[in-house]
Amino acid sequence: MNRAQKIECFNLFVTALSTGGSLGAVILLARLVGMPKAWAGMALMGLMGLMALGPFIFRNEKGRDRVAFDERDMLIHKRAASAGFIATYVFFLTFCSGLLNSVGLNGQVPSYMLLILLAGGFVVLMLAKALALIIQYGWRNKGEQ
Amino acid sequence: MNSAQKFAWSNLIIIGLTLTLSGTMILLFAPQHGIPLMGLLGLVGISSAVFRKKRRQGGTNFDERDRLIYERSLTAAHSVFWPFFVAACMLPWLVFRSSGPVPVYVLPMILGGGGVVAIVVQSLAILIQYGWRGKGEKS
Repeated sequence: MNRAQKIECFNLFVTALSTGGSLGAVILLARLVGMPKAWAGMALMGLMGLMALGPFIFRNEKGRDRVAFDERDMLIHKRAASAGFIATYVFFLTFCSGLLNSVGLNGQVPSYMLLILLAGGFVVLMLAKALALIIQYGWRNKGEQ
Repeated sequence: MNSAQKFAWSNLIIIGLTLTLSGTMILLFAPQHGIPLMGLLGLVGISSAVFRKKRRQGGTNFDERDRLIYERSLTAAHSVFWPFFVAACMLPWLVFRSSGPVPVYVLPMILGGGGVVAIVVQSLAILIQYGWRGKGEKS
């Protein structure tokens, strides 16, 4: 498994952990303390910040005379970025259409919906990018390091 | 002028024309007269199909350089789309959070605005990399 695969697997794990953890916390807190206070469980989304540690945890191996990032890697990264962008735009489109459908053209939505839209878009971007990268490289180790 | 340049120019002309027409109608009459004209933005999809047609006629008219330019222009569009989208979500939130809920029509405006900004940036990036005018290239 090469460095990019390791980082994207880590990102995928962190995204799943923070999203699943925060949703679980909200559901748990909703039963314990009631609904408005239960939104505090979304604080676990802050775990997404751990993704910034990926490049530091999975460093390039030093002292070896070899190419760590070639044209193929660049192409895969660009394709993954495009997949992330497309997935995000589709998410935004679905989210906005859903809201429009539910409240009508003259309706209003709480202002925090904009933040949910933004955070959701970021999660979808990270998921789609990580998945696209892993699918292109392959899910398993193929001898690349 | 090659097909990518024609595509970029047609996008810029369609978007410019649509925004000008729509803005004029909104200023002179009312939003309900101007906003439907934004539907003209759909012509961007047709321009893509029109200028792609010649690629099927044989000959190499999309090589590694064209691919690199296309990918760079997409990267530029992605890079501008996200800061725009963050600003477009955070600013209404800052404005409306004290006064209450946000009108739902703001959401499609953000989405449409993001799409238009991405297409404009991609077209500008194509034209900047190839040059604004034809240099004898044909496709």
